[in-house]
Amino acid sequence: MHELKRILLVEDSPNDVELILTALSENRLANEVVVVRDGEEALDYLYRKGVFKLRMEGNPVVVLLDLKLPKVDGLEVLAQIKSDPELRAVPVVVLTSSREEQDLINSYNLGTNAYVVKPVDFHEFVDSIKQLGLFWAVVNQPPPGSIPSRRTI
Amino acid sequence: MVTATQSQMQPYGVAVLAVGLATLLMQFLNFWIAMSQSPFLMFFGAVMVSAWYGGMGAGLFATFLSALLSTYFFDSSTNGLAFDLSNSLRLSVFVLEGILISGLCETLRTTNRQLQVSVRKLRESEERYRRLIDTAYEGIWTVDAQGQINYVNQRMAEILGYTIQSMLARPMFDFMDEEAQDEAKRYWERQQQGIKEQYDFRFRHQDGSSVWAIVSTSPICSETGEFQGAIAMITDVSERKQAEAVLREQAATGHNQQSWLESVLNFLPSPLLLIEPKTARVTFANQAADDMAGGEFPKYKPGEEYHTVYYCTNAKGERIPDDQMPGVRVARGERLNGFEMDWHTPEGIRSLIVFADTLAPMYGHPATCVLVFQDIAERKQAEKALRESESRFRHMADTAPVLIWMSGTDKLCNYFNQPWLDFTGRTMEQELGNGWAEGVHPEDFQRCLDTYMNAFDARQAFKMDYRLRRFDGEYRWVLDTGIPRYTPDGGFLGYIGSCIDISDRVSAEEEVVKLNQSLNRRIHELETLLEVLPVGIGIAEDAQCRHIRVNPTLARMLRIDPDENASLSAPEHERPAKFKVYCHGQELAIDQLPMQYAAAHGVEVLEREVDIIYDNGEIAQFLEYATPFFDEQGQSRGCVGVFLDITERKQVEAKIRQLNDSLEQRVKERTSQLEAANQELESFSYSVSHDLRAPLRHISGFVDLLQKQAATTLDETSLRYLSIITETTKQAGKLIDDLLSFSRMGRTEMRYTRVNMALLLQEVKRDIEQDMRDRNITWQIEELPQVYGDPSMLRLVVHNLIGNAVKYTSKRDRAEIKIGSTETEDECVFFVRDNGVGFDMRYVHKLFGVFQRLHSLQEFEGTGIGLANVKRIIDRHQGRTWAEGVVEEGATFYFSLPKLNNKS
Repeated sequence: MHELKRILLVEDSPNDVELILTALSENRLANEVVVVRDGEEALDYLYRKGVFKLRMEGNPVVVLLDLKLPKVDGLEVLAQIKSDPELRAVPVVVLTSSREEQDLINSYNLGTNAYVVKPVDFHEFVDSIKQLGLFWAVVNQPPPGSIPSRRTI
Repeated sequence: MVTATQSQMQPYGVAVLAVGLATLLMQFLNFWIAMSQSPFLMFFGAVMVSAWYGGMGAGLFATFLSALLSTYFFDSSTNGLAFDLSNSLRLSVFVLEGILISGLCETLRTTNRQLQVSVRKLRESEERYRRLIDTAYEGIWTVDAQGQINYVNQRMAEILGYTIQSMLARPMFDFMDEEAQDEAKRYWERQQQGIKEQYDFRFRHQDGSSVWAIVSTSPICSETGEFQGAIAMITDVSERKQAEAVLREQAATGHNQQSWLESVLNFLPSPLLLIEPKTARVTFANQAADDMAGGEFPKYKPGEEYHTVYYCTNAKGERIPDDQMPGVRVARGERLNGFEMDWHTPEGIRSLIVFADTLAPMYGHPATCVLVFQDIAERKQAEKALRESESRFRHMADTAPVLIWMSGTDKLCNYFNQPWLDFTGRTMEQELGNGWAEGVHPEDFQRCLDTYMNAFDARQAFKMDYRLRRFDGEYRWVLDTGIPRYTPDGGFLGYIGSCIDISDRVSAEEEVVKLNQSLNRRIHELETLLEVLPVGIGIAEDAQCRHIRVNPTLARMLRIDPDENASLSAPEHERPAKFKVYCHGQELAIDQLPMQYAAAHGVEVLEREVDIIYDNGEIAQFLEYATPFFDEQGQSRGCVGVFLDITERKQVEAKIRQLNDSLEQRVKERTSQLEAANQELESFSYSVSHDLRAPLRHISGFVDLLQKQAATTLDETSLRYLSIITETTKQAGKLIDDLLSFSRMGRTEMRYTRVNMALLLQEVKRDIEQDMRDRNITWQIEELPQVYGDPSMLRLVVHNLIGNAVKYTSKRDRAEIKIGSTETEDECVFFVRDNGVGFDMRYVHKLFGVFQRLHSLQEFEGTGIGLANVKRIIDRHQGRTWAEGVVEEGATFYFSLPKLNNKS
C-alpha cells in the first residue's frame, strides 16, 4: 500500500516536515521522501513492522533523523540502526536544532554518517536541505540493497 | 928540702961515678985493645946505668960527660983535643944514642913505677873484695863446670845452715829439693850458654825448711870462652817473701774491702762522689751518681770539663759559677752542709741537696773529698704539694663562712681563720693563746671556759653558745662547736672548732613565724577555694589512696557526706557504697581507678572519662584528672584528683552530634536538590537550544514562503511587516545562540594548554576584519605573552572584547583600538582599549552581567551576553575582569590570567 520511497524523514514537527519537503521539492526530491513522526514508526518502517508490514523490501538511501522525538528518540533509533548488521550500512544524517556538543559526540559515537544543524534563517535552511538531499539521494552511491533510483541524473 | 935536694942530686952523682968508672975501665982496657977503634964502648954502659938509675936527666948528664971524656982520652986522631970529621960523627952518634937510652930508661922507670902502684892497689882491692865477699850479707858461691861448689862464703853457709867446709866440693844440687833441682838444671843449662840471670829460687835448709832467695847467676868463662863454672849471689828473701805474702794478703784484703765498699756505695740510693782534693777530679762515682749523670760519671777529668756537660743552678735558677760548684768548693777544702741546687744534665734536671767534706788521710788512704747528693725532687714535690695543700686549706679556712679556731694540746689557741679575725677586728697575735677570751661576754666567760676545759680533758666534742664581741663592739651570739683533732696515727693534737653567728637566727625564727602565718593564711585560702570550687577535688595522702578527702563539690557529685571517705580502696567499713565507677560499660577494678593508679604508679592520669552509677541507678559522667605527690625521696605519697561533672556536657555533645548528623543529612538533601536543579537547568538549556529554535525557524521559514507567495498581492506596509518579522526572528535566534554559548561556557570542561596570545589575537583580528572591510580602524598591538588556558574559550574572550571595541567605535571616523599587556609577579593583565562611545562609570558594575546593556539596540545591536561570557571564562581561569570608561571618549577592558609558571 505504501509505495517505495528512497528517503526516510523522521521528524515530529509538521512545520519542519513541510519546510523540509518544500526545500527538497526544489530538487524535485519531495516525492522520494517518506515521513514518519516518531522513532517507533521509523523502526517499524525499517523493519517493515506495524503499519509498514507490507511495504516492499529495500532500505532507504538515507535516513534524515531528528533527535528530539516522541516515544523512541533519535539517538535510540540511531543506536538500533547502527547495531543491526542488516541496517548498519544505511546512511543516517542527524538533522536537528541542537548545537549541543554532547549530542554531536553521542551521535558520532553511535555511528551517524552526518550531523546537520537546522539553521534558523530560512534561506540558509533551504540551502542546507537542498544540498543534503542532492548529496545523499543523487550524488552518493548507496550501499547494496538500497532502493534503486527511478531517475538518472 | 935538704932531703929532696939530696935525692935529686943522687942520680947525677951516680952518673959521674958511672962515667968515671967507664973512663977508668977504658983506660985499663986500652992496653989490650985499641980503644980508639970504639972510644965510646964503655960509656954506653955508663949512660945506661945512669939513665936506668937517675932517669932522663942523669942519662943526659952521663952522655955529655962521657962524650967529653971519651973525646979527650980516646980520640986517636987528634990525641988531645984535636978534632976531625970521623971523630965528630962518632961523637954525635954517641950523644944521640945516649939521649935515646936516657929517654927509654926514663920511660921504663915510669912504667915500672906505675906497675908497682897497680900491683899494690890490686892487692889492696883483692883484700877488700875478699873481705867484702866473706862478710857480705848476700850468700855467694861459685861452682865449677861440673856444678861442684868450689867457693862459698860465710853468709851462704849461714843461710843454708852449714859450715863452709862442709859445703865445699859438694854438688850444688845437694842444697835443693827435687823440684828446685829441676828448675836449677834449667838455669844451669842456660848458664852454660853464657846467660846471666836473676830469679827467685828455693833452697833447702839443713833442717829441711825452704829458703827463699833471689839468685843472681853469672857464668864464669875462660879467656878462650870455655865454660868454667858459675858464680851465684843469693839473697835470702824468705823473710821478705813472708812479708810480701802478708802484704799481698793485706793488699787483697784491702782491695776486697775497696770493692765491698764500692758495692756498698753503689747500693746507696744517694749519689756519692769521691774527689781528689785540690784538683777536684772525680775518682769514684757510685751507681746513683752514674744514674744522676745519665751514664757513667766521667772520672779523672779536670773540674772544668764536668761543667761543660753539667751545670747547676741555685734556688733562684741562676747558674752557679764554676768556682762555686760543690766539687770545686770541697776540693778547695770547704765543707758543704746541705747545699741546695738543681743539677742540669742531658738527662734532665735534678733537684739536689749536697753534703761534702774532706776525709783526712787514714789507713793508708790519701785525703779524699766526699760528696753526697740527696735527690730532693720528691721532697720538693711533696713540699710543694704540702704548701699547696696548706695554702688550699688556709684559703678554705679563710673563705669559709664560719669562724674557725684551733688549739694545741696545751689548750691554747694557735690559729684563727680570717673570718674570725674579721669578725673580732683583732689581729692574730691578739687572739692567740687565751687572747680570744677577752672578746667573750663576761657573763658567758666562766661557763664557756668550763665547757671548754671539761670537754678538752675528756677529749670530747662540745657545743656551746656565748656572746662574742664583734669588731663594732656589739656582742653577737655565736654557736661554737669544737672537736678534738688527731694525727693520722691517733696522736692527739688539740682541738679545732667553728663558730657561727646565730644572732640572726632569732630574726630568722621570727621570719619563720611570719612565714607560717602567711602559710596558714594561704592554706586557709586554699581550703576556702576548695570549698567553693565548682570542680570536685579529692586528696589522698597515701600511695594506696586508702583515704580520700573530698571538697564539698565532689561530695555533692558523689552524693556522699563531705566528711566521708570517698576512697573505694578504703578499708571495707569506710568504703562508700553509694556509687560505682564504670568505664565503657565495665566496672573499674580498684587499681585502675584514676587516683589509685596515679598514686600507685607516680604518673599523671589526664582526662579520664568515667561513668558514675549511683545506687538509685542514675548515671553521671565525670572527667577525671589525677596527679601524684612525691616525698623527698621521690616516692609517691598520694595524689590529688580533679573531677568535672560532664554529664550535661555529654548530653549537649550528643545533641550537637545529632544535630550535626541531621545537618549533614540536610546538606546531602540540598546537594541532591541542587544537583537535580542543575540537571533541570541543563535540560532546560537543551530544550531552549532545541525547542526554542524550531518555532523561530518555522516563523522565519513560513514568513519567507509567504513573502514569495504573496509578494505581488500584498501592499507595501504588509511587506514591511513581514520583513520586520524576519528580522526579529533572526534577532531571537541570535539571542538563543548567545545564551546557549554562555550556558555552555559555564559547563564545558576546561582544556588547559599553552596559548600564544599574540597568535590568537591575530586570528581573531583577521576574522573580524573580514566582516569590517569598510571600517577605518587603527590597530595598535603590543607584544603579548604566552599564557596557560583553554584556547577556544580564550579565543571567545578576545573575540568578544575586540568585537565590542570594533562595534562601539563604529560611529568614529577614525577608530583606534589598542591591545596590550602588563605583567606582575604572578599574573598577566591584558587590555583592549578603544576610542569608542565609552560608558558611564556609574554603571560599570552592570557591564559584565547577563543581558545587561548600556546602549539601546537602536544604537548598537547586541544581546548583552558577550561580556558576561568573558567574565565567566576568565573566572574559570582564576583571572579577573574589570573595565574603565568615559562616556564618548572610550573604554578599556581588562582581564588577567595567572602566570604560566604557576600552572605547571
